[in-house]
Amino acid sequence: VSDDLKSRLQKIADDAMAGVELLPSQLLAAAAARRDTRRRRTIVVAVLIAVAAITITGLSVQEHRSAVGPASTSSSTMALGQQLYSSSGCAACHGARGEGGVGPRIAGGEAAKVFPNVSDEIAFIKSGSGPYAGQRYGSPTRPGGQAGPAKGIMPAFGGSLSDTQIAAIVTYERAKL
Amino acid sequence: LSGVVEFEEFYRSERDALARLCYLATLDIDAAADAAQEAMLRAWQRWGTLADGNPSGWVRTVALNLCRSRWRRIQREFRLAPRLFVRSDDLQPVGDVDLVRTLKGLSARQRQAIVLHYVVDLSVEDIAAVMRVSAGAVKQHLSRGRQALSALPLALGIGEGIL
Repeated sequence: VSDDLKSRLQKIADDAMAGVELLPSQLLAAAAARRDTRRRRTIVVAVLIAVAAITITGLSVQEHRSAVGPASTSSSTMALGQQLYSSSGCAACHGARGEGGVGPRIAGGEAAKVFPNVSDEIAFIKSGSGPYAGQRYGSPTRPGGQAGPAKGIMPAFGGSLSDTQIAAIVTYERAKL
Repeated sequence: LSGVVEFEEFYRSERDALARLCYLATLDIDAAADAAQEAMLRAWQRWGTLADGNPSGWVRTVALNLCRSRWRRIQREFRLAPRLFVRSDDLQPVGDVDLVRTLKGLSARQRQAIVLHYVVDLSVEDIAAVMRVSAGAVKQHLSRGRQALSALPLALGIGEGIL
């Protein structure tokens, strides 16, 4: 019976994959180079987006400050960050006060220790932890070393939140939790 | 040079079986070919250290992990990962509808355990190593997989407990 099952499974796979050809081994080097170039380009684009987001947020904060004064601007960004932190699902995993839960603790300056560069934290929130599943992540200079290993369950917020919204959440986390 | 020749032999003898294994694990032609190709590519890049160990087991583990990777799926769907394999537009329809439907009804891990056991003939311990789970978890996946397969029409000839 096992043999029967084995041959039927093999037949299914043979039929499905009959029209698929993997690369000849001689082309693997070229394929690796092509893949690495593509990956580098993706990372560069992500970094550019993060830098642009920070710049835009900075400019918008500056504009707002000149219009209504520094205290109001700061509280408005902070209020947006606080509201999004609760409503977008951050609090559900990291705790209402960032104390940790399903996700790791981010309060007490922990987020800034893991991601000394704001752009790295923004990129992490945009991609979710999927790309880091099973791996350590963040700054190796953090006391205790890199965070993780990541469970890979944090969803990517890049599609549901704008760069400005993510920047507001990061601002709130770092200043208030 | 001998390393290159060794890898070519390894690649030629393993690549199709690996792609088929990935297909049975995912039931998705693109995902299977992508995972198998990527795993082979990584093996080629590390061949110096892999050649003396168990490259077949290593490449199988990597490929099956890639099959399960959500990030890999996103990369593939959004075309962030270049397609390195060649796929004919004129694909054959897959027969054995009942068995395929039963496989689809299994969880990804149950399907992987069943395939590794019945197609690759791995022991429970070896499956646990490939899937990076405990032997107990493998037994559970196999048991549930067998239960589903035993419900197939008699065409498979499976009686209760025979698998």
